Amino acid sequence: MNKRRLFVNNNDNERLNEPMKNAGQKMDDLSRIPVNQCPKVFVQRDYTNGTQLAFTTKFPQELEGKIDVQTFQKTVTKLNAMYEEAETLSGKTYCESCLACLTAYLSYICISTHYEQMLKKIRAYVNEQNQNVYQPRGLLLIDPVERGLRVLEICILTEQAGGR
Amino acid sequence: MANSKVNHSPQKPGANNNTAAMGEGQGSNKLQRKWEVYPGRNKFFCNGRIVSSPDIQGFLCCMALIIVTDCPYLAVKVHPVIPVVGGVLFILIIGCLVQTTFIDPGIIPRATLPEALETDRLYQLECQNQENAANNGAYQPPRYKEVMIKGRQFKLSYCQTCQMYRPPRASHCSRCNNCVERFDHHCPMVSNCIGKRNYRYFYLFVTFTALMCCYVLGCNVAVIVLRAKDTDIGEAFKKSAGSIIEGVICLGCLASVGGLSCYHSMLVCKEQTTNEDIKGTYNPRKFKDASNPYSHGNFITNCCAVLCGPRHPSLIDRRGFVDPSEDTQAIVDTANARGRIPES
Repeated sequence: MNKRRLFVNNNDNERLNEPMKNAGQKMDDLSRIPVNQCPKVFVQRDYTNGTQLAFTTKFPQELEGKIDVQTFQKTVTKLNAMYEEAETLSGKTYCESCLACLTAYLSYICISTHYEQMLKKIRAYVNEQNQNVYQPRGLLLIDPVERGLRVLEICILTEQAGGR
Repeated sequence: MANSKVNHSPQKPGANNNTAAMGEGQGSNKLQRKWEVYPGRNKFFCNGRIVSSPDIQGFLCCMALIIVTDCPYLAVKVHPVIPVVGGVLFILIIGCLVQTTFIDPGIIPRATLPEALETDRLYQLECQNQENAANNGAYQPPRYKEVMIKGRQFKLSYCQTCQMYRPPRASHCSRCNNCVERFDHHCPMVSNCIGKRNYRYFYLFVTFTALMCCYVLGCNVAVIVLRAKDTDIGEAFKKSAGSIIEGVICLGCLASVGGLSCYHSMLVCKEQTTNEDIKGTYNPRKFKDASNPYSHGNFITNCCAVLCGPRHPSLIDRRGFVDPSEDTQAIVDTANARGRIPES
């Protein structure tokens, strides 16, 4: 019992000392690691179908043991489907573009486009997934729009950067 | 036009701007908007709502040309409908020009530090796997990544400035010093890059201008012919000297803009960019498997996709506030942080 506690303490000290050297920051609670200092996993874009927006559904190794493959793939597939809906050519987008052209592009000032509405929906979805699925498992999805739609960033909140 | 004034070395002036902006930022405690510390060389107006490139003179020149060539005719009234059509065309042209010049052409924001480090790390791992002993200690920056797009292999080159693999069809604009999606060309006349977001406005601008030239030219000819009916030809030419001058200017414009318009119409039908056309990416004589993977198949769909497709969002968050806790992140070079990599 005693021995085990000692061991845990040692381990904790090792883990906590390193960031203090690195970042000069005192960590007393693991949940307080700021987002910009935790290790990040990047899900890259999938270009197999052209330049349309899609992320690869390949499960990244770093997430092993943190989340199961199906849940992760479900999220990414859903995101991809939403982006596809935003980008496909539909009657609505044609109408929007023609209307904008006829009004000498003044309509963009007052009307939010289909794409913008979809981006809002995607943001809501990411937040919802974070609350229900990812944050309880110590992960955090970052909305790809914040990274210029280049990558889907997943922060591992329970670890410190530099230790891997 | 403004080319001669612009410094062509991409790195130095940009870097200077950065340090200047950073210095200001650290001095004052006021929250900064992100465009104020933006590393590229674009110009921003109206507190970041408007993006343009460093050489704004081109735009002013272009604007002046339009007003000078068009307005005199609008003053000459032959029939009530004619000036109205001219006016509508004029408004459309100005609308397109303003859109082309003042919206973000599809700039891809630079990679954040963790992202750049990750790319770097993956590349180093790959290098180690490929050639273990050859050059062990030497650091190599990432170069290429190969991807398959609809069965054709493409190389995504690594952009040293933006620290990421350029997405397919993107290219780095040395004038603006950042990567632009579906890069067409940097246009000094409208003083902005032409890219994914503003290509259609550029195309419509060129086409409408060509139409306008035809229209004004036609009207000029009509004026002379009508006058020649009433009096003899010599008299008519004498009376309508203004029309002749205008006609000559229009002919000159038509020769340049008309050609450009035809060229871009062809590109739109094939769904290619000027950049790709010049490089000959889809030229069967240069490459074996030279089909264009982005084409939708027939030219009608291509036209619709380019001209009426969804309006993509601007990816650089110009109006957002800079988070003071991570202020240096976007600008720090991986070179400074590279020391950490070998540990992994």
